[in-house]
Amino acid sequence: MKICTALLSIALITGSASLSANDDDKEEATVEVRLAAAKKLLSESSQISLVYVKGLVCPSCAIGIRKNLSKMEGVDKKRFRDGIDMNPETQLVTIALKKDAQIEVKEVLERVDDAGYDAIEKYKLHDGHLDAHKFKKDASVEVVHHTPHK
Amino acid sequence: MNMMPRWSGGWGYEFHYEYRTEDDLLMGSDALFEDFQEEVEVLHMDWVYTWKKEIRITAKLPYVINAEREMPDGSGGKLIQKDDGFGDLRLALPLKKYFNLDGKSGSWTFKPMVRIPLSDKDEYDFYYKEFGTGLGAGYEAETANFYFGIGTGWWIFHGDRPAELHSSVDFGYNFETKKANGAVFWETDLHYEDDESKTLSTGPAFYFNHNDTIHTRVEWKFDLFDHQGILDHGNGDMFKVGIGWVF
Repeated sequence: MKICTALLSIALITGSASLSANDDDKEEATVEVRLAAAKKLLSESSQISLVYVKGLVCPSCAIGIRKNLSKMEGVDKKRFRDGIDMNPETQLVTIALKKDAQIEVKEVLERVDDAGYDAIEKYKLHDGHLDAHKFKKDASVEVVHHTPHK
Repeated sequence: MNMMPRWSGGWGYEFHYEYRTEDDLLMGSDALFEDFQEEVEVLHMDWVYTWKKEIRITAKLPYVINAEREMPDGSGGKLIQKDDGFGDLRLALPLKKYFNLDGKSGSWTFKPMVRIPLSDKDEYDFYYKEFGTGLGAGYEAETANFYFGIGTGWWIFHGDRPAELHSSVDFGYNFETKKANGAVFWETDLHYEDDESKTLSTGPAFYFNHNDTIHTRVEWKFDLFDHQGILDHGNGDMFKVGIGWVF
């Protein structure tokens, strides 16, 4: 049995190593990385809402974010997984929206908080520049202009 | 799999199969009787409900499929003793304080625990079959790439069992595939009993989150150091494989 368990452990580690080889280019989140990713996503996709969720680093712990946000009115569940894409490297949550749909900031804040995380701001492209709409406690937003380095 | 469910109203259950074998009967750190084995198979059934993100309740019920140990019969031979059936039900109320930083998330945990025996004592019991109360505390933190967790739990029993302390230190590396994610861990456990027994075991674990509902885990641990305060089995290995569902 000892030999079996030792062999199984070696197989596990080897298997894990080959799986993790797929993410060699994984980069820890920085503001620059996040803003560049946000600009790219908004340039390439339409009908999305892009939210920075602080602390979103573990996809399995953050399943609750998808579960909660996908229940909102106007989310297009046919896109991404249940209409929500989560990126633990950039901490960006992309919400796929149905045509002309809008989502309430207050509802986003509550649903993300209920999942154990903090929604900080959402992004919009404005004349080629990235604007951050910073969430306040009263669910209003403060617009901050960002010019990403890359 | 103790990191889920973090969301309010989340719940889940898990089944783990554990195989444990110990090679010698120890007294202190010496093998008083070499090649006197203990072999145990247990099915663990765990359940969790997250009422609010800060408050969970967990229930853990082990079922001993088969436990067998060799003891000296007093005339130079071996006496074989067996055990099976339900072990002790353990209930806990983990209270969590989460923190979210840029690129890092984690939690502090404090948990009161109780242990309820479900059957009477016998000449050989793999589980203690005694009422017990305990307190646990833990800290875990994670980035997109790395995991670190430390935890400790202190148990006292309302019978003959000595008090126990369990502590653990876990390091992990997170990885992602196209549609799923997982982690490779190196885990180290210290088990101390108030009769001078202490065991330090360590080994790898592999966790895979197949989708938003199903996750699996495999782990193997071996003893680095084993010291028994009374005549008891030691120098062992533990292998565990589990599957869980979360909703």
